[in-house]
Amino acid sequence: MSLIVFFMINFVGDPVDMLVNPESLPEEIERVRKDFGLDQPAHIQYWKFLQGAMNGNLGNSFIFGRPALALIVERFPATLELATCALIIAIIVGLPLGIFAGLKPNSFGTRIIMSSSVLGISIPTFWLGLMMIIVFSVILGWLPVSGRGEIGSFLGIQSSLFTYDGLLHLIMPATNLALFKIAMVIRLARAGTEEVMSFDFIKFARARGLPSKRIVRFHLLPNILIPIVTVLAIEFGTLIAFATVTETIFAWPGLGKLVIDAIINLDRPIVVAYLMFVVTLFLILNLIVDIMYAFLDPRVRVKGEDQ
Amino acid sequence: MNKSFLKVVTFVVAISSVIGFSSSSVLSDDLKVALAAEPTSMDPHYQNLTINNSFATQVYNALVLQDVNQKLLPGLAKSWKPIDELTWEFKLRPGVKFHNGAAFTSEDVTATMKRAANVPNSPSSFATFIKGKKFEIVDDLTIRISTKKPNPFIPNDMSRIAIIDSAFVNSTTEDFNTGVASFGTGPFKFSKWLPGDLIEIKRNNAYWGDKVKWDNIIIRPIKDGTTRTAALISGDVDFIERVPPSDLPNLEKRKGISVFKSVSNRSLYLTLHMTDNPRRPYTMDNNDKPIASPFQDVRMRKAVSLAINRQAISDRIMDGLSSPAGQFSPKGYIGYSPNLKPDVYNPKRAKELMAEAGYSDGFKLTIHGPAGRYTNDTRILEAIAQMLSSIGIQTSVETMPASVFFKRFARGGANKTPEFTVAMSGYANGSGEPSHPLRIFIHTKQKKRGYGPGNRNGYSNAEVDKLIEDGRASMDVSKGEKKFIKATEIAMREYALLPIHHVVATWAAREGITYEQGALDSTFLHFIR
Amino acid sequence: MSEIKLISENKINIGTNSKILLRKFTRPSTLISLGLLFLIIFCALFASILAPTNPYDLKVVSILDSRLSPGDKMLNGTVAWLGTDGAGRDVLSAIIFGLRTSLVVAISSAVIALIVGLFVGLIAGFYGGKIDAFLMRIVDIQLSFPAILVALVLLALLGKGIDKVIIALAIVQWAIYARTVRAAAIVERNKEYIQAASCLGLSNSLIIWKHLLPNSISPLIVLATLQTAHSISIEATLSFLGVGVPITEPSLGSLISNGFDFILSGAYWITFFPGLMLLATVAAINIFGDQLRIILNPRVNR
Repeated sequence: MSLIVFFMINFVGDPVDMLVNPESLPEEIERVRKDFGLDQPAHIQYWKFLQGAMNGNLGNSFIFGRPALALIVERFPATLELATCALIIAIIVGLPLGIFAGLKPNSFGTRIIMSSSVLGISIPTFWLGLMMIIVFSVILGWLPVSGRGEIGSFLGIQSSLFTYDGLLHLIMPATNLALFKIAMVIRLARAGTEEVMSFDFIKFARARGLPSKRIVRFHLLPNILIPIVTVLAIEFGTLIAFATVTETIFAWPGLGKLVIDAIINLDRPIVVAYLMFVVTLFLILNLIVDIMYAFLDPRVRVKGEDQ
Repeated sequence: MNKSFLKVVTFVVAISSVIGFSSSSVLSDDLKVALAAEPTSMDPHYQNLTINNSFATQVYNALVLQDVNQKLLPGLAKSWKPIDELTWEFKLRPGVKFHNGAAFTSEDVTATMKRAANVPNSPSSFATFIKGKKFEIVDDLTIRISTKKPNPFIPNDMSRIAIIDSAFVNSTTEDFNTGVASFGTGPFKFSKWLPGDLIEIKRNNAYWGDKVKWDNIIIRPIKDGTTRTAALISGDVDFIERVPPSDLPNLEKRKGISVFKSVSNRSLYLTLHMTDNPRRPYTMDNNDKPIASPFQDVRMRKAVSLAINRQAISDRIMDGLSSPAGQFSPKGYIGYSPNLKPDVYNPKRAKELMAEAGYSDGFKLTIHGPAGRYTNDTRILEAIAQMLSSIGIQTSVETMPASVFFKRFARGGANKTPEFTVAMSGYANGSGEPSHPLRIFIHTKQKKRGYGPGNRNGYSNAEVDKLIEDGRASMDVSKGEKKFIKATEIAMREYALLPIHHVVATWAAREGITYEQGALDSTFLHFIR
Repeated sequence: MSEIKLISENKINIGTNSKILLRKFTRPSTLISLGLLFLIIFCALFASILAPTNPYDLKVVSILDSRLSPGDKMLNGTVAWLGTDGAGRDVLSAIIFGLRTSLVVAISSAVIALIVGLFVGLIAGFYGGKIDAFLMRIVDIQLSFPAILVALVLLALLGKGIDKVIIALAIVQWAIYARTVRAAAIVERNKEYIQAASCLGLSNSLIIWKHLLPNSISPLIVLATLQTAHSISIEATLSFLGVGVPITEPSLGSLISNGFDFILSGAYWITFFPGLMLLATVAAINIFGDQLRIILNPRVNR
């Protein structure tokens, strides 16, 4: 993939033509191209890139003149913050609704929950984000439109979660990003609840006359939580990727904005570094999930053997 | 601490905006500004880019300053004059101190020139303004600049280079980004930069010129125009630049918000390919057979110009925020010719001209342009396609990101020649010298001599070339300007390029804030009062 | 992705009790979504007849008509019932044509991705071993890149055009199909009738074509439906981010994103109506896909 992206960006455009001021002397333009290493054939450029990558150097951004990886690491906390909040919102909102829908499959409430979850999956994130800005910021004036707000520090961690202003800024983008996942958690929780409720140990617990609150808390929840958490952990990667859209709308200074600008400006080192970063993240998440899954749920091992 | 104070301020602002107080009760002299773009670096010599340069003027000074109409003003040099055909002498301003307390002397000038011409990895270097000049220290406050050929534009060139303290001549771009080296002599001190999020600057109380009004300015980059407007309306920020045209009428009506407008020197133009060597693949006859560019015939170029309803573009797409153009300079700006008027929409005459040129049946054409580079660029292209289609040129539009567009525009065709038959692009004079657009776009392409680097349609007229070269060799600037105006008139009558309009630059702020505007569309924070 | 897993784990059998099937097909939500779906497809098919004007014909569209409110008359006398957009296109016509563009993009990319995915999945599932491991590694790599990003990068590189959007969307989708087909094929492969066919000396391609394919296809139908809805959304998002279809031939997504520039100035109709249409389309397909899954999946029977 790095290969494909590398060569295609080379083939399509040349950032120098856009970056260089038209009033510059021709030898200046040649100098820039040389500085960036763009004067050499693509395969040599790629070889150099690989050599650098071995040493953890993914090249300097053409536009910012700074190491691409450093730029990414610098922006990552903001995106991580956004994605984590979105995930938490998704669980807090989605889980109770999903369990309710699973417990009372034929009630009116379930109908409403399920149809709004279909809507939740169907509304494009960007359109909803725009509507939220119009309603909550422009018409009602409740929430700030853009940016990250003030950043506080707690236990040495810098995050806008620790200030009131920061939280205000976070509400809309996080909710916007969470929406798709809320719908997903609802569906997962409902499916899980329906399945678990039909198991014998629940029937047994009921027969023992345990109150349903207790059944939900101690028998149902632990059982449906495992698959939900695992799926969400994997989905965390897509959440970070989808943050690109949300970040564009709300001018959130995270990875997404960086990479969209980089793609549009053909800032190849950033695009390549970002893709590698995301894949690594994804692999790590998968690994964690696999370990967690095997640890939490012995059935997996059995299942794995019969294939 | 300072931080907790800020917290209180933002809290109060948040609360007051929630409850709906008008923010006219100014809380302190802090200002929050949202700009459409972000500098790529805090290093004033890293990249010759409009946003970088306009930000640099906040923290640094050049020897020569430009006012809002690009008229030259004394800066760190209090006067300058040519002492012979090849040498200029600059007298420096005494008693100026850098933000770190170091005194400003001629040593700093030579050190700056050395650094600015050689910043590693610079994507667009300032070397263009420095190479070929010899800098000579006469005394602590006098500098001489000499060239091999007469150069009347040295003061213009010197207005482009931000002077730094000679102690930081070897500092890296990173040192400037983090603030280790960012000490200028300008009206603001650099405080911090969180890339993608904000830039903070503070007032320089020891500034040699007029002091600015604000204690602190926080600059946020908000790229999306509608989001930017929404940020102002909701009280998130106090001042924004580049109001999207469609939001402007609404903002003007709104209570508690003031809007500022001025015709800028940023123009939008079309280039029409005027040779058949090599043939470019974007004109076809009605049977889809490639044909040579019809625009080799000046009548066809005129037909296109007459077919474009510039007023409608201004009214319907730009919401009045553009002024139809017939040349590079807007009225009142250097190099402006009162004899050149924008063409008035006349589709009937356009069709007649097409018939005279032998294209009464029309043909097929693809026009190209960047997406998201200029205000409403794609919409303007679409409108031009509509207008050309209605006189019988079946036009389709292809837009692409600027990075792709400019490569193909410059050398996407056969043998690395320019690719497009008809393309739309923009131009703003950054130097404030009248020969600038002529040298770049109008003069015959002569790569080695630095002429015609932006001439992509093959226009060539010996008389025009001579006027440009003569003007540029004359140390008498006003004599030179007359030659440039003459050259402009000849070139524009031959439709060397088709100017469409000058963009009207806009700013908006909460009530009580004013902004001094001129021909420049970038934002200069020290003009906010 | 969770849904995909659910489907692939479950064995699906179209021949379930047909009475239950019939009952489910007549549920009101199914009927409504089905009706809406037919209406949408009908509109898209007969766009050029139904639409009052041709919004893609630049000779007809004029910026002098731009931003008319719903119900205003355009220069040529046609009434723009839903107003006009920034370029002077009748919004109603643009929605109908844009719907067609969006559907064409979504369906053709789904079909291409399905064919490629089917091919790869069947081969991997049938042969197993090294071929399987190799193909599935490619699938894993592909799936580890978020779809929206890959499509964005591809389109930034390929440029604008409906064909290019289709290619980009097919590239980001094929792996999902491949994985689903493989899972289904593995289950089928181990069944006795395939082993019997193999013993009879039938050629591999014949077994794949005649036996494996028909029995692996039902989870794909559901998946393809849901993926189509998903691609419409992705296409819209891509248009919003500035890559995708050409400006003179807007899809629903680009109509919405163009219209957003006008929303603060009060011209809500340019972005609102296409948005509504997009929502209705995606929701209808999603509901239909959901119902289809329930119908085809015996395990959810209650």
